[in-house]
Parts: sequence; structure tokens; C-alpha cells
Amino acid sequence: MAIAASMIPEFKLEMANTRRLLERLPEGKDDWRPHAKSYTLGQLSRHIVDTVGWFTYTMQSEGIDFAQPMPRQELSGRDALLALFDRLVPEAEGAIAGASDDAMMQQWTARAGEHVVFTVPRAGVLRSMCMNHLIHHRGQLTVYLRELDVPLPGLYGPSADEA
Amino acid sequence: MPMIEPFVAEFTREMASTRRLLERIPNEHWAWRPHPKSTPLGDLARHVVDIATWPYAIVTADKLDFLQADGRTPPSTTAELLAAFDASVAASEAALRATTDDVMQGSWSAVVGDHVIFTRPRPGVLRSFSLNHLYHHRGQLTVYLRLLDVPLPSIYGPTADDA
Repeated sequence: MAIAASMIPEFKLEMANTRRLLERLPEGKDDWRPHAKSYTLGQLSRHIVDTVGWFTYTMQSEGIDFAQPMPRQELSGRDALLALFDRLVPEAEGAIAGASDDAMMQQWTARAGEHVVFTVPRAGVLRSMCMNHLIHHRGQLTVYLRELDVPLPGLYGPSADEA
Repeated sequence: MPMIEPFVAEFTREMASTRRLLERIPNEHWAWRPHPKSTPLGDLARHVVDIATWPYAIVTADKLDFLQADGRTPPSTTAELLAAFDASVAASEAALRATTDDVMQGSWSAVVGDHVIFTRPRPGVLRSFSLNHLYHHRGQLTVYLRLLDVPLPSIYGPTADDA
């Protein structure tokens, strides 16, 4: 099976679950944070949605320089965030689905100015920097929403609201 | 490239960052939970360690019965937790390294007694049911530790304690 074909079912499943969680974002709580050192709810949920765009970026580039700021449009509110998510998901899926194994195994480099952070095959970037990273922050978001008394959808099994 | 190869590389890397996080769990807060509906800290940490054993079960057997106790005494201190984690990771990593494409092309079932929860191809089970599931709960654990004022190690990038 081609590498891209093996990734698509997982991508669809995880993005569907991610959307079910984002749909629960309460309005008017963007500035809430669980701890003084934490991201706000608005920052965390936006970071998760931005990570979806990284899949597309990874497919269409040979690397990234963290010293260069990524252009980003400001938005606020759950509906605007969901609209962005719904635009980014099919873009990413299309970018992954069309890739050859050669493209997936091509080396991709993350740097910070002159300093090389890592060079790994593009498939590994999709895996760790994009998918695993998104799942990590989505897990954090479930704790935020629990703290805000939002009923949670199950992701890998039933939540305490479904049991 | 053997089908298991990217899983071995990822598992090794991700379990190293998982251990750095588990090392920070304060012994005195095992029963703490951020919300009445949340899993207590100690149970969440034990769940992460349990999931680290699943790759072993996925590549060395055709199914795992969640009604069957694994015979191990559940850890009740951070030191015991780390010992259980190290044993789980070593067993899973060795089993993954020995996994052939023939095994990867087979299916695997999660069962509860006579009831089959799912039967799916092994790569997808390893991916979603074990690895992504672990990253999800590990992400939750980072918020728990932040709420307990524990300085956090980097998982995918600098934390508020590194910056």
C-alpha cells in the first residue's frame, strides 16, 4: 500500500473526532486559561486548527524556518474557527492523497535561522510534527473543556458523559 | 522498507519524551483530579503505562481480552510507575523490532470476553488504538501537571518553563 493511502483513513477519522470536540467550544471563553502559564482556550484551539494547515504546508515545501513568522489571519469565535478547520481539512487531505512514496520519503528540514532542528523524511514530519502534535494539544483541550463543565464526546473510548 | 520500521523509530522517540513527563508526577498527588468527572492523576498515568504495553500485545497475539488481568500489580508510586513503564516499553520495542510484514498484514481484535469490540488491520490498530490514544492521554497529563505547578518538559516544542 502506498504511504499516502495508509494515512488517509486515519486522517479522516482523527479530523472527524477533532471537529466533534471543536464543536463543543463555549462562546465567550477564549481568554480563559486553566493556569497562569497555560495557553488560553482561544490560543489552544487556534493552535490545533493551525496544525491542520501544517499537513498541507509540509506536503508543499522542503522545510520550514521557525525564525520566519508564518502569516496568519486573526479570527474569533467558534463558527469562524470551524469554518477555517473545514477549509483546511480537505486541502490537507488532497495534498496527502496525491503524494507518491518518493515524495513521502523526501528529506524535509526544520531550521531556526542557521540552526538545523531536524531533517527527516516528509512522512515522519506528517506523523510527529503534524498528527501526533495535533493529538497532543487536542488531549489538552479535553481537560480545558472538562474544567469548563462542557460535556465531552468520546475520542478513543467513551467519555465520563457517555459512560 | 519493512512495514514496522517507521513504528519502531516513532515509538522509541515518543516513549523517551513520555518518560520525561512521567518522571515529573508528584507522589503525593496520585489521587488528585482536576474535576469531579476527571480520571485521577494516578489512574491517568497508569493508563498511559498500560497503553505502552499494547504494541507488544498487538504484534505478538491476535487479540487482547480486556477482561483478563495482565497479572501485574498496578503501580502505586511514581517509582513503581516508571519501573512498569520501562518494562512495558522494552517489551513492546523488542516485539515491534521482530515484527515481519506478514504479521503486519494480518488483523487484530480487541475483545471483552466473548464480545468483539473491533477487528482491524494491525497497522491501523498500532497507529490509532495504541499510539494516538497514548499521545491523547499524555496531552491530558501535561495539563494535570501544569495545574499542580509542576514544571513541564518539552514534548513537541518548548514549554512555558523553557521559554
